[in-house]
Amino acid sequence: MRNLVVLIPEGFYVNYFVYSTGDLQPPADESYQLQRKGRIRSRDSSASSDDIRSLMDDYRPKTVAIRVLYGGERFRKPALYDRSILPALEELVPDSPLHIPPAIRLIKTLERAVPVPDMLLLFETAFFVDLPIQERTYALDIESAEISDGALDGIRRFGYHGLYHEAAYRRISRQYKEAARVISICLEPVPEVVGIYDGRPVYVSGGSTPMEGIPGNTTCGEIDPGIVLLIEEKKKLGPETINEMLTRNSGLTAVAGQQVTIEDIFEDEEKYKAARDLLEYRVLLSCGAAIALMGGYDAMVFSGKYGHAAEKLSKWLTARLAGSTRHKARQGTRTAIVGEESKPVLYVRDPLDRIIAADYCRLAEGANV
Amino acid sequence: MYKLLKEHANYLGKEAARFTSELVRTPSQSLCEINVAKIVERRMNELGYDKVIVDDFGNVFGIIYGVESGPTVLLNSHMDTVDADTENSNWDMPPYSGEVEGDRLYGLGSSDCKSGIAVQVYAGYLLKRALLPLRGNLIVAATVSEENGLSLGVQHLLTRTLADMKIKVDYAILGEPTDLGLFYGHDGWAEFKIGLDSPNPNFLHDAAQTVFRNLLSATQAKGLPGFIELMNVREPRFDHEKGDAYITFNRRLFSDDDTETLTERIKQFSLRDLRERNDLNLDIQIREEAQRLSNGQTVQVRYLSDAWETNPFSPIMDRSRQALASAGCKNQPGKWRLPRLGMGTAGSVLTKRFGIPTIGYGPGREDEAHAPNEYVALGRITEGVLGTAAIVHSLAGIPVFGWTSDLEI
Repeated sequence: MRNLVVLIPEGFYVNYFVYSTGDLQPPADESYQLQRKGRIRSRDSSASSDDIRSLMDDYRPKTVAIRVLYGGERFRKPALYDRSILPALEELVPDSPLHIPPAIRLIKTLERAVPVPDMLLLFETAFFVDLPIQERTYALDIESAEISDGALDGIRRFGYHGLYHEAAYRRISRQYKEAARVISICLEPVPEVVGIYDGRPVYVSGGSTPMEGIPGNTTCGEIDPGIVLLIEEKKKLGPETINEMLTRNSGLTAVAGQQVTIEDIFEDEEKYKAARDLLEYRVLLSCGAAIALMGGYDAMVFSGKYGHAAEKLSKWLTARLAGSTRHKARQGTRTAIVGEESKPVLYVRDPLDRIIAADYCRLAEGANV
Repeated sequence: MYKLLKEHANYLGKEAARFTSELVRTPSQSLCEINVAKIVERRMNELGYDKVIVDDFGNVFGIIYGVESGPTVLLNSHMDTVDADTENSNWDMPPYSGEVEGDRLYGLGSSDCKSGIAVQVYAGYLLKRALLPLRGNLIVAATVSEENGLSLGVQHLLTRTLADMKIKVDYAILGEPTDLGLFYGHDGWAEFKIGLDSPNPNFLHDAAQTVFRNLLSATQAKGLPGFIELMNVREPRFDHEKGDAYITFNRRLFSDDDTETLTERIKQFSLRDLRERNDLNLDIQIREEAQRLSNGQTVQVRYLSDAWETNPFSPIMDRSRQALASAGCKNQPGKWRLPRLGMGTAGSVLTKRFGIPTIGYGPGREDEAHAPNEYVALGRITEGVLGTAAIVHSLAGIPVFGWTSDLEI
């Protein structure tokens, strides 16, 4: 038995999950068991470092798997830590200032553990590095002389739940081998829709930051950039205040008029009808975009922490997409397309730590990790 | 980001208050700041500043490096205090107690400016601890010899220490008492010395008394036409061996004051009602003297502190206001009133001599500065740590636009 520790930074905490990985026989992602989980408060950096080191002392894992939200174009697959990685991560700090520094600190803390474990870094953005060029490009003149100081280099579209989407695709491919065109919907605080064609993402609702796309618990999702300029001009607000407004006080919370989550709005259907309608509508549009790009879809898969919401959303969504029933459109009554068979829908209920542990096992089979 | 900062600041505010108390308990009258400097140096090292330096004037400063070479933000507070003067004032508790009663931390320098030091030192630490990276550099400097109004420590820091390190400061924030308002300037002052001599010793004595009375009347005639606000007009001092005399006094300086014109005006005012003026030589100068610093160096100082003002709509004010609003902090602009002439801040030097956009943002209250039973509110210290960090991040931090914490993605 070998121990694997999964570390997931989350707000003020680092969540840890200790797995025993068995003998790594196939199917690898079913050969592990969760032994212990907990969270280390990262408020005091020295104390959290001590806690992490004592966790290492207790379990002596051969490998620690760390979830990193952003890896830019440099990290296109999981990376086993070596000395070349730290400078590469440091270069990414300006692109992801809230997420790379905690990862760097974790790595530096683990480097001081005895013995130093292998560190496997899994990047949420890696899945999206090779998005088709039309999908990842913004129609902006970021190379113009006026702003060519490099400050805007690297602005392109990514997705931010790549680990969920990859796991979801693997799962559905295993179950439905003929499913080449998959819509993957991840319901996390910032929900994300991805169109996956033959294993590669061809559409993603996310943007240059997680703010773009579908409205989240508190994030605005896609809006006209002119609105931002208008807010700045009319309300005389600074960029920090506008950012707080768009990332922390918008989205479903703004529509519901109170702090809500995606789970909440599917629990009380009357109270949060406006928020739920909006979410369903934006997810539907994203699915439509994915379908248009893939020329249809063969299966749909849900993942993320809001599992109950996924079940309710999927019923509504598949009904709209399959067109196998008559339904009322938003304006007027119309007869939907008849004749398509309903598509398979799968729910991946694994939490992120289990998905990461499975990734580790899968990778360990192919390489001596 | 601000949620993250607030969470950390709530905890660090308490540490910053304890640090303020430690600083207050350590006497540091002007030119005797060395013990406080040692405490600040030790604390900056404990908190993990990238570099901590004590320069040859006794200024201590910590640097947090950003990923680029600029912009550089200077947080500056002075370590020195005025004399406690406990015999002539009404301190209810020992001025070096640093005691807390209710929400107030009492002691000499608690408002001016030891809570400012603590807030700035912990604001730098807050940014480090919240893992919010900087684009440019942050320098947190606790400087010597400010309370004479001449900011010798800051002058040396900029002209020699940072210049030798090839560091150029782009913005400066003073931790002087503003009650967490965003202050952007104040009047200046000058200390004048009128030298009098005459071949006739008896006439010299009478003339000096007349000049003294004229100047004294200027302190009492506020609001009258031709009024020149003067303060601390001191009795004539006679040197019987040399056969001369002198009188010193302070005068408030406004932004449009020209010291040459002012000197001539004071001269005419001094000589009112004086007969036989031709027998008197009267020379008005801004006072100068040699001062010995705590490190043993002697410097020649001129008692002049210019009025200064940073444009209230300048980028440093705009960004600071916006950042404070985002952090949920008070963001009221204002100016120091300087109720006691001879007070001032390093803003005069920073703006006039070095051209650095400067503002004040400190937890103390101006009314408490140099006053008996001086105190600072503990809540102001916590908010000051948060607000200062927010301002620094807006000026030199890497923007986090579009990003939220992992919890919210």
